[in-house]
Amino acid sequence: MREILRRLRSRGLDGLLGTLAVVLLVLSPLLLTGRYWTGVLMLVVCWSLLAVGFNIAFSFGGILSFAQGTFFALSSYSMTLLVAATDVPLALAALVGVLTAGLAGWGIGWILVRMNNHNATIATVILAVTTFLAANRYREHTGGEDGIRLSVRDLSVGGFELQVGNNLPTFYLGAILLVGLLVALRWLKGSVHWKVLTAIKYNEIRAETLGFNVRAYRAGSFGVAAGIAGLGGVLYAFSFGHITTSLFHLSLSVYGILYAVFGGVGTVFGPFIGALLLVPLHEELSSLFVYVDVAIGLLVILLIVFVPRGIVGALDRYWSQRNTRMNRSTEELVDADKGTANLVKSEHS
Amino acid sequence: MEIVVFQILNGLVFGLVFALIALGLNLIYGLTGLINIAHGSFYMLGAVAAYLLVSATGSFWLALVVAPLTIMALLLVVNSVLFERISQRPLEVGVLATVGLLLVVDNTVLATFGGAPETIPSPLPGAWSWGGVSYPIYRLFAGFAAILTFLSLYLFLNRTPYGLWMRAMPQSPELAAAIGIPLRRVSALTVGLGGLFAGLAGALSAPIFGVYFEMGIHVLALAFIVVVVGGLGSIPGAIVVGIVLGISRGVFAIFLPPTSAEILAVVVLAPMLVLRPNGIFGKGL
Repeated sequence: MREILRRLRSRGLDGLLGTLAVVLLVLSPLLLTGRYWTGVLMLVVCWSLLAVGFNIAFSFGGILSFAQGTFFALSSYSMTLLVAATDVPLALAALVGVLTAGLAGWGIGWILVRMNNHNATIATVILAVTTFLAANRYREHTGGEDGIRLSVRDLSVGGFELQVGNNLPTFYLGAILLVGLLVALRWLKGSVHWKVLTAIKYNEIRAETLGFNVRAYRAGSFGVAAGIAGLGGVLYAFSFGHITTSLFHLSLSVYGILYAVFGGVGTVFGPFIGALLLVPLHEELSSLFVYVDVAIGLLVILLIVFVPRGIVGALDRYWSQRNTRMNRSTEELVDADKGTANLVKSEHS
Repeated sequence: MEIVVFQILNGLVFGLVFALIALGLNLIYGLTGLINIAHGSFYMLGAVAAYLLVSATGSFWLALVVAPLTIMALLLVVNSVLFERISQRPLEVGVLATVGLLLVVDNTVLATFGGAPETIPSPLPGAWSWGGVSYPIYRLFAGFAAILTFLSLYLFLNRTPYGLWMRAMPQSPELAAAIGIPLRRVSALTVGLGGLFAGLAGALSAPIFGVYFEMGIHVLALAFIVVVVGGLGSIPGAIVVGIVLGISRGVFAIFLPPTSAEILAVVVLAPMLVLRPNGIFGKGL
């Protein structure tokens, strides 16, 4: 028993809590039935992808991004407009949507990584607010606040047929994609690229001195993060069949950030756990009182001031500190050194 | 021809009022290192306060004095409750806390004041005509009020001990602390001044643009691009780029609808960020 505990501790709580959360998500349609709850669970999936994307942009791109919601909206609009204008199959249009978001993120990432961190963050706010204004200005294409409908609902990929909408098969499609992504991220943790990214996170100058193209890695991470947000946007349009320019609003990014911060930035499963806990709460609260954003705003302030590591981050730290009895500063130093030390090792092997 | 002069004057006035907002952002950033995402919301609160005061007392001039002071007092409270806890912490703490503040302020106003736009009648009706061009007197007054504020700030920074301290602290906080500058009080005063300017900008623009709860988020992108292109923390940068942005917006408005002009003004300034990622007047941190 003690041996099992010790092994669990050494692996950290992230994976353990993550597995629990995944099981909870996959089994929840058994308890929470009906169209309303299917919609809420679908929102959990979509907002999780937004939060996971934010986490990657922040942890590895080094950019605190308020543009994740923009990429989310960009992708869902690209797909919906493409399907409406041509007879491209839905699956291909969805792929185009995700790629549009990813490429846009990559290109913008190239500009952002040349700025210092404060300016880059502000630039993402400018991007988000300007695209929101532009989307409402060109309402003949975007439909404005009334939005536009996804005109094709038949998704078929290689013999696999699905009628997308607010139904369980669509939810499971989203859940599989989300869980697959999280598992891939967890698995990537051992790879050389991951080590480079970690090294950049802890000491950018050192990584650059070792000969890595830091800017390329950061811009690439930002592109991947945008693509992940874009996947969320595509799934959102699948499920609700209707998108409006409110998807471009800054508050969408703020929600994504809130879920990521609540769960724990820098962990693999934290952003997903944050969304899983907060999205249903948010939906229930908004049915009770309209101005729920006042409460959300207060929650953001209290969280970031008092629990900046999020629940997974804070628990994980407490857990590993009990395990190793290291104090905070030593642990941070070891962490930082591990990043570059591993890198040097893998370079030499 | 008349429309050209009219729109350029419009842009100039807009840019001057705008520079007031950007200036407050930069003052707060320079002293506390905080990027106040909620700054636009305090501009909106200034306009709302002015509207409520005009409705209650009927005097715009009273509102023009009291509304900015109210916002200043509010920011002093926010400073001691929130900003002082987050100013020395990593970037994301300050940014996210002020985003939370934005949500709280905007939605509280939506819940109490309502979502419908309101207007204040122009306190200086009539137009000033010169060579075939006529321009509303009140807008000229708003522009001059902004210029007067810049001059006062210049004198304050260069002629008073607090001004000297406010310039010294961003250069070297350690040295400033070592020679006995009351850091907390100087920071609080700066945040208060930022609030005063935002409130003043709100009150000044209320009779021009109307009053609505989303006006804060609408100026946010423009205020930020002014700040970034001018150089984060730079006082002349905020004023110069604010005016340039305003005039270019005015020029675009000659042949485009207002929202498109606003978007185009941002898009035109954006390449500056590629050429000089850290601003024209920026130190590059």
